[in-house]
Amino acid sequence: MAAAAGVAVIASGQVGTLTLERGVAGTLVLRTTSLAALFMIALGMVAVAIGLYAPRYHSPGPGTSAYQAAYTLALVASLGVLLAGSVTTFLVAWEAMTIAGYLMILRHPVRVEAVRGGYLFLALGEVGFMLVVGALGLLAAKTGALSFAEMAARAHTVPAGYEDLVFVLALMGFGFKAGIVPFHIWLPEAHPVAPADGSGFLSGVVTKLGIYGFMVVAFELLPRGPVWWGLLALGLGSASALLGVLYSLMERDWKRFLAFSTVENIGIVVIALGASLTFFESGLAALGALLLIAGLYQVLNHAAYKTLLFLGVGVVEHAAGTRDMDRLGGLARRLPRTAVPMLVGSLGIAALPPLNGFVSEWLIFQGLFQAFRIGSHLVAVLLVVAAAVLALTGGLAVGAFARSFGIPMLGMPRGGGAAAAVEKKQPWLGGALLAGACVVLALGAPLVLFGLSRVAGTTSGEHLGSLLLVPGLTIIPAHVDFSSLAPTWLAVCLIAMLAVPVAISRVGRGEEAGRVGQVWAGGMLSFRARMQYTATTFANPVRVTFDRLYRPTVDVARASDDPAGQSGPVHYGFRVTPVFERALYRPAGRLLDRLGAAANRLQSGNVNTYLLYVFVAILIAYGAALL
Amino acid sequence: MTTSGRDPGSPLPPNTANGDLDAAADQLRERSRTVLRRSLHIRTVDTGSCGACESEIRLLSSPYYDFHRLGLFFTPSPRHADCLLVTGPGCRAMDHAVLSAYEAMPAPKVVVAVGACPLGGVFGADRYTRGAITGLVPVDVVVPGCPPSPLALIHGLLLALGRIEERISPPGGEQ
Amino acid sequence: MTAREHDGTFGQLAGEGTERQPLVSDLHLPAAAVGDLVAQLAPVARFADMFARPAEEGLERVLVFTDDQSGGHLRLFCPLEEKFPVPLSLLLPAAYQEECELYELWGVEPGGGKPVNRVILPPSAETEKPLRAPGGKRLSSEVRAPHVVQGEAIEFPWGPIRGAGQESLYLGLVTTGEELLDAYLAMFHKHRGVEHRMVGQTLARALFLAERCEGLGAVGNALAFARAAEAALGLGVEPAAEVTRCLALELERVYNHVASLAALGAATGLSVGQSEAEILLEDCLRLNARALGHRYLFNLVEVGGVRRGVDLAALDAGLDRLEAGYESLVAKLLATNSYVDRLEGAGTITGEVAHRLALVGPVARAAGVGTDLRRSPQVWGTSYVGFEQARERAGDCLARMLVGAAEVRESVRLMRHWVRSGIPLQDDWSAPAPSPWEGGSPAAGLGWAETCRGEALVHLEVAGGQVTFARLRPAAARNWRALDDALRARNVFTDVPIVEASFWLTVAGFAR
Repeated sequence: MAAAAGVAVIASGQVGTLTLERGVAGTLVLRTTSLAALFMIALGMVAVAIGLYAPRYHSPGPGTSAYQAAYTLALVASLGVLLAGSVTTFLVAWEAMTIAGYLMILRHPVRVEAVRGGYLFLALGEVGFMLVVGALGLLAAKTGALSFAEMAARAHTVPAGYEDLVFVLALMGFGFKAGIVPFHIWLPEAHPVAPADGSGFLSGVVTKLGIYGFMVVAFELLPRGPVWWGLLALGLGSASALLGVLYSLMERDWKRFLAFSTVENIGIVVIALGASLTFFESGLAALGALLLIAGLYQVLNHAAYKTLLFLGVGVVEHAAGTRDMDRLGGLARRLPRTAVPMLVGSLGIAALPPLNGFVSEWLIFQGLFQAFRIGSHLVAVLLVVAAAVLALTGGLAVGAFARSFGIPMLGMPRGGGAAAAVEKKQPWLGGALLAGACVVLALGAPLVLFGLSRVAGTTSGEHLGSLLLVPGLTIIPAHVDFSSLAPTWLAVCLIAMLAVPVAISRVGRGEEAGRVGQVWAGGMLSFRARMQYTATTFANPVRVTFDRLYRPTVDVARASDDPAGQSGPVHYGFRVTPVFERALYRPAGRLLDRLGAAANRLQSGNVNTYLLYVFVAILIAYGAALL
Repeated sequence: MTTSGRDPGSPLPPNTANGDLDAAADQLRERSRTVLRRSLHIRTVDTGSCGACESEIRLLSSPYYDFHRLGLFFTPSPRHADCLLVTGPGCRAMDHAVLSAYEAMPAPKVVVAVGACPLGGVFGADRYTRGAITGLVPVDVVVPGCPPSPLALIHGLLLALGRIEERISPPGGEQ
Repeated sequence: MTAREHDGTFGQLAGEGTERQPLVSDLHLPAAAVGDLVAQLAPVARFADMFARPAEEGLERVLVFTDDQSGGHLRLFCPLEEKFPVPLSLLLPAAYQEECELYELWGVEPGGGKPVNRVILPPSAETEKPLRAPGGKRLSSEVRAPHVVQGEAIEFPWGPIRGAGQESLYLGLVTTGEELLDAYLAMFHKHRGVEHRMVGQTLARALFLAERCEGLGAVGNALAFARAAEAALGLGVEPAAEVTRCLALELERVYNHVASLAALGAATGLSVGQSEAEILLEDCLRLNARALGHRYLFNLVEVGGVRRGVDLAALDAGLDRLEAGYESLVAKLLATNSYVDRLEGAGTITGEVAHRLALVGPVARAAGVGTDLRRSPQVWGTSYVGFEQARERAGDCLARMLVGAAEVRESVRLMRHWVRSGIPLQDDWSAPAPSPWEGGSPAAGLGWAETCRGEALVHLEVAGGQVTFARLRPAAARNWRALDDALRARNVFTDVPIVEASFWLTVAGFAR
């Protein structure tokens, strides 16, 4: 399996440089584009890491075998999605990927949460599938073609109103898979219940396929549309990014946290793509291509560090017996070979220099800051607002990942499981490989950008390569006087700066040996694990600030509420219901229930009644045909 | 502590006058420049004082005394402290806290005992208190008084700086 | 038997005549009758103290109530059984802390299975033995209230070593990261057994200890002690000595309110206000030293009199300067919105809580509960003529600050009145030689004073010129109990130092 994925990497690497179409066998149309090749690189990277990880992670057994079969099917189906050259092939592969993903989530089908998470994934996947079918079907009908290449060639024949409809249906339909707000709610339910490598695959690959599908429609099949398309995507992306990070901060479950973080990162990608569309549609193709590159860079980065983090959490869950961050602690000493890659991944995803997330988010910012070149003030302001939302998101994300790494990894263990965690027999190579990928994506930024600019060039027709790079490993995204960055040198300098205090302490220490002492805790007798900040308390200032959004239900219990009573146990708990669940899905669920109940009345169970229904239906159909 | 003839109408409390202080300040500047890089960081510990010594210690940083001009500072963490300023008769329940603060300080460090209590002048040794803190941590300088005035405290801190020099300047000449 | 039938004093309760109302009334009851009487007294009188004293047979429980209107005190004596059937704090919530003390001092459980908090004994005490009970009695750990934090809250530890120049105290702030849910207070670190030490000492030595029990309330505690001794021995005090004591008490009040302003400035981060208050505080302390010989007014009060006369000229001049400086400081502080906003609504104590916890002093008065003993002419004679009690309603930090300001004004007015009244305060009013006390028969007395933190109370028993039993109840000992309630009333982390500064309590006053 790993070998197959490796081949995928190499193959995609080869074809990524040239676009060719091949093979028509019956209705199965396959092709490779450079865009698909890029997603294949991401897929191959994830698959190799999972291939290194899975054999030690899963204990042998029938459940594991079934799971591996589902996973392999999902992998092949995902490849199929990327290789599909026609609507039918694409839809078949897409549905196969959804069903295989559903089976992956049901690795432990006896658990209630697993059933619920899997059900949500399947149900929302099917709703999204319907919308995708609607979008592609409509496009196929209006262009009279089934192959993507022909559809793209005849796209200009589609009437404007239908184009708009197709775009909105595609954005929503693929949004369900990608996890764009408000279609994201399967992520926090499905990710925690899948095995760690499955979650990594869902987050690293499956959500990216939603992005891929959207890009095929928005950039290939309907290349130029009105400005509001881009702005719609920009708005949804901003909402995803901000709400994703805000809800991630409320999660104690590490995997749910990572799932919301995926919503955030997908939001960042969609911000980039939406801004890219806006620039293309405003006639600023060079900036559009720049943001397209930035978005694709973010796709690659996210595939690397999110999968890495999920694989790490899997090790933690096995070693410590829980994913609840508030019951972990002190794992960095106990699981060093997991902690170091996770630190790299956390730094990367928090977009801190010198790692890869920084490069892609920096590029997105540079692109958004060029909004002033757009003639329409309204559009320019909206782009800058998106930049502000992205800035807020970035700040919160730093806090979120300081929390998700610091609370479980540093300090004292908060539970027996964390105290007893050992790294022996735990898989670590997959995570280490992805950490290496993060470093390569950061240090090799000029090279990556060179490749990405070719992808963007073939996708959008706007070649940027020479504009983007100047000799000396420096990136100049927009204008010579505006900004420039050399991520490679930045990394070298930052690491060199780290060496300065180390050198000073070496030189300054002199003869005297250092002492190892207790941590200063105000002279108290025993510092207890309960006295450390937890994930919940760390994020509490954010909760208080955004109280209107979260509207948490809080429950406080004290030994005595009488001021004169004894002090004793204090209990505090709170629960946050995300706004979309509160305002959208629950009412929708209730409405469906009511409709179902109404429909139930039709089901009398009497054969004669059903015959009457059939008769009426035939009459109506006949009447319609006559008209 | 020295006493000098003072103007009976002077608002300054007995023990010290401004002339002494200036001389002592010069002395401090000379010594701290070489030994503690011009500044002494102080961690205070209360081992059961009545609160009056604390009140005088708080006044050290007030505009009247402003001990920052002499390079003296309070620090919340003993990790950054050169000097442990101890008040109170050494309540046994504070033993652990005093020792852990002393342990947490980097060398070279000095201990200044403030007031009559840590000298055993108020409470005796029994189940509750040690009566004097000398048995708990090595005391370098004592500042008697009940409570010692801020000027007396500054004088004591200056002595403490001199003590550091005595300890480390002649190689092998430790007392 | 009702608590107060006609004229609102305890005199009738104790079966005494109405023509001369005594300041202290005593009642001896069987243990079973205490519950009923306490239930009647609780709504109308302020619970002041509860302690145990060794009697001829076993222990005796003593309850002290204060009538704030008349300034009279009532002492209830009853036998103390090892285990009380129901905890008295059910009827009298304010007595809970004293119940815990009884457990740690004498090993008497509150009864009814009510858990106790730690107040005096450090948890590391190698043998969990009651501090003063004879024999090998041991304390059971099952009675301890558990100290655990559950759910998504943490305990933010602060102490026992805290900021520079702060007294040792452990404050466990139970928090969700921002709001405070509860606070665990531990003040056993500084317990010095002062009451225990006084037993067997001469009165002079015991007074010395009473003064060092709480340095920032030295005059108040020494005065309460001296009055208790005078009551026990039937000693009178010269009027001029009495006024000198009052003068010292007011000077102590003024410098403490100024010190509280300095602490509030530090807590709110208002450095200018802090510095100005510190300048004023130093001026006050120097004025103390010049007028009465000691910056903290130590060694002034004596059983039967005072040790020193007053430097009236220095005091008169100093008061003018003090008043001007103080008024200007308060006006500037109240005009600083960033300061007032931090105080307003922080650390609120409602009048109901103040009554339920039997709080004293400015903390109670800021919540609208008038407890100032200086109002009562019966207690003070003519010294406090025209005295007006400061009152606020809001109960928050700002209200406490305003009460402090009003009290400083009133103190300055009173002091100026005394200084200019022509009473020969400059003379030495030392008590006569202590010969009448030698070999005296056993006697007991109750003494009190309205200190800067509220009512300080001392119950003293002497025999043969020596203390045989002493109970000190400085004002701080009552008011600490309210800090955790003030903290958990919708406060965040950064309010903690502000609330603490506005309470202006001392750990030493609790951990005596």
